[in-house]
Amino acid sequence: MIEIIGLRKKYGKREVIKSINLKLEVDTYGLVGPNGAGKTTLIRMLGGIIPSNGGKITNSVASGIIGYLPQKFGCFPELTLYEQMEYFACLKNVPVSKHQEEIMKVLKIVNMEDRKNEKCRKLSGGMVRRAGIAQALLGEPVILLLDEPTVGLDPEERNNFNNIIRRLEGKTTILLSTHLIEDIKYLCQKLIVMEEGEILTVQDAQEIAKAANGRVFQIEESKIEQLPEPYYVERYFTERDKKYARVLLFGENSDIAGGQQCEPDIEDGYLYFLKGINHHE
Amino acid sequence: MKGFIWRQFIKLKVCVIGFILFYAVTYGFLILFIHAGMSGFELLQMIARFNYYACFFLVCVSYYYISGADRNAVREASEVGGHRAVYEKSAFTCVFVQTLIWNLGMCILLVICCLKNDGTNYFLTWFPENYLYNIFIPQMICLLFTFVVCASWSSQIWFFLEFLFLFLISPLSENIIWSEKPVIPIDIVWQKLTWPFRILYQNGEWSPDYQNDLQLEPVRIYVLLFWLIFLIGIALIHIWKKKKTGRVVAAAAILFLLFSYQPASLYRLNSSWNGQNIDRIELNQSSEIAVSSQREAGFTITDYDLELSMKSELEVKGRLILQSQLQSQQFCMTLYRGYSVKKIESETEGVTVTFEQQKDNLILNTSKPVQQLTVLIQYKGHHNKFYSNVRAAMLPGWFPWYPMAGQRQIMLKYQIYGYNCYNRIEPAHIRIKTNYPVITNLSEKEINCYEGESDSITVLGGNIKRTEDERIINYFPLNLYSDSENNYDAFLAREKQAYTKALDVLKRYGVDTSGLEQKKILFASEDMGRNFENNEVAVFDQYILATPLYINANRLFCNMIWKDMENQKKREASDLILPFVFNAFWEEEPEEMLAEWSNSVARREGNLTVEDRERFYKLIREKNSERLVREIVEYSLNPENFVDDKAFLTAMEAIE
Repeated sequence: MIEIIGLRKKYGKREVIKSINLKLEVDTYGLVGPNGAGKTTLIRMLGGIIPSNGGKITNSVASGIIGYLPQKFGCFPELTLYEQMEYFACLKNVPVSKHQEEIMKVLKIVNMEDRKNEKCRKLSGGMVRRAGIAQALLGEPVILLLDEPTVGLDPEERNNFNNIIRRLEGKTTILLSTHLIEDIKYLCQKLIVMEEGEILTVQDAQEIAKAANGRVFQIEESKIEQLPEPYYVERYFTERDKKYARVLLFGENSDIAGGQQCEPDIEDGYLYFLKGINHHE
Repeated sequence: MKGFIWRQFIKLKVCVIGFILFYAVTYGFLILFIHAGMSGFELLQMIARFNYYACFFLVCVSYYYISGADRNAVREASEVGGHRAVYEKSAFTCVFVQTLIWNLGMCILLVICCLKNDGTNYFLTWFPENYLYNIFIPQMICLLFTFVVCASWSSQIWFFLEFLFLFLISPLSENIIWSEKPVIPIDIVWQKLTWPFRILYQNGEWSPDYQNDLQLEPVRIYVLLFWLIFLIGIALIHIWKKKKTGRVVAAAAILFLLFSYQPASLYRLNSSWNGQNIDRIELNQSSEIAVSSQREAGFTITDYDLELSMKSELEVKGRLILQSQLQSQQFCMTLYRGYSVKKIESETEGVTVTFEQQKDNLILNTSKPVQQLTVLIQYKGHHNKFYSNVRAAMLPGWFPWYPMAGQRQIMLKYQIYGYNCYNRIEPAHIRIKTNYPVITNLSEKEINCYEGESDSITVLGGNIKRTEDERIINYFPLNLYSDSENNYDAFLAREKQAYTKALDVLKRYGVDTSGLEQKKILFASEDMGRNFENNEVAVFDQYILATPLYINANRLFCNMIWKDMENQKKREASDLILPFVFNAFWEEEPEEMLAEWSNSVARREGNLTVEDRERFYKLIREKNSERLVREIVEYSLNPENFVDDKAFLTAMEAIE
């Protein structure tokens, strides 16, 4: 278990992380929140990239190897893929005698073992991303930190990436920061919702969805004004030539004239907490 | 990791080719110059002169290499687990080691150069310090700067800072000077702001002064230390996140920087109005261009007992005994304005003293008239040309770096400007104590204590050694070569021979050389006379102060001529005198001397009519050459004997 107690971060007078407490088991966590919530800052602090201004992280993170894939990741173009992995293996103090074994193991996980002698400058964006996963896996990390891992990937590469992460389930703690709900739906068992440097909730993904029970409706666009305030329009869509809106009500209501109650999903639950509807009751 | 970094470096073709070319070009040129016979000192100065380009190369290559992780988005993944700047540190080490190896190679080549080409082994113990502060440390500062910026900030900020840094340390920035004093003191502001960036050897286009070091003044060392410590402090704060320690270190660095701004004796050859040209500009703006060199004082200073402390600049404490012909309440002395008097206290019972400094005049006022006055004096300062610091000193006896009785002219206008080398004091008992060994006209009684009776106090220090010769007092070990024409023995022989020959030649043509005979010769480096006229040779009561290769009949003769300021205008008006004085080759036979004189007169656009020129050429053709030379020598020394050139020609036509 990895425990975070009272972790804080300030930039000047601005507090970007406000005393976070968290317990992370061997599971896949989705770290979600709007832009500027502090997700990347939290991940960087967990990764030891930036120091905190207070709080502590349990010894298992401090002494164990951390796997980290930053939002922006690249490779030295002059090195081969194997040499690039070797670079990271050196940084993680993997014994030299075990370099080959460890590197081939992680390259196999990301399906790139046949490209080990290829120069990194020849790798596509998706391959570089996979190489990033590979280096993060070197040394059997106690925690895997992934910051916006699928941004910029095409659907095929994103699919490849997700499959890799699925295969790692149950083997290590994975914290995946994203604002793409599709990634969460497919990968994460638990969700950590953040906003303005604070954690709003930590729950199972299914529990997050259920939190919005009785509040999610589909209604014709023209009838939106009939809805009891306050409410939040999640999105508009067209069905059978009619325009509809998917709406999240702040108050629980089983019956809305002209509206059809929907089964809430993770996105609804996420918005439920993000909009503070849990405090509205 | 270390092995990996080296393997990665080898894969970077730009860096590898760059370094190979760097080694090849620099070592290649050095070997060429060693083969050509350059001395170790000359070679080191040349390396120092071009070190900016080496630094530029190192900055470019090290940026490209050290910023590799940041440029290729590998940095953040590298720093997981708190390994701040792990790649940058390793990359810096790689570049540092290569730079160290290059410098070791340069040092080996310099040693080889010294063993092959130098006349002494003095260079071997002298050069490490000069190399360290002029070559190695500036390179380290540039590398550290690049490392700190690459590892601390974003590459965009780096580019701006690095560009600015490279510009400010460059020779281009060094050459932004004002040759005239501006209305708003923007030049002073610029000098103060850019002073911390003078980490490299300055004014390298000028040949160096082998008596002095390569600009190792304490204040420059402070600047270098400031940068080293400051950059380490910045690294501690931004890279290792040790803010408290880093701030303490950075504060200590700032202290060094503040120390570096103290007044200091620096010898810098630029044409800034407040540099080595300050006295010329001052004189040009005053009404006294050429006057008699000394005004009647009414008193003499009979005793000097001075303690000289030369560190950052000259500090003098001591005792003077003033003897007046009549009871007097005011004593006017000359002390160059660059030396600020801190205090003067009377040691004469019942007499108090006040003083004021007005430019080069030091005026003492006593509480009551006295005929003899003993004072304790303390002053401190420096001159921009006649340096005096812990590394070297050039204080000629004719320059009022010590109080001289009466009002003296500091600078005169000969054909061009030059310092007044005719200032003499009445023979006085002199005792000086210095903080390091020097060459002086006085006798050494104890370690660093010198005493004697003389008409001047000359103090020379630096890369200067005493000979064992009775005539030639000193030599410059860095200016001797291993070949038989320029080694130690050849130097002594040449200068003694030149002296003897000069006297013989002058005597041959009727010049009274009694004031030149049997004198010891003190040598200062050529910088004593650099850029100014008539300062290479000066004749004192017991010695001649000169620069090597400048003791010859022509120089000695010119020195006699210029002393007579009263007749200067008459000489300048003559179309015959100056062409002879400045163009005669005294070592030649009189026929050759006259031929050269004739050519010089022909080139001169003067007042001589065509008819008078014909008379002149006829004299050259018909009269006894040696006799004619004697006559023109006499006319040059005493122009008042003839009304004008016509009268001289008429008189010459009458001789046999």
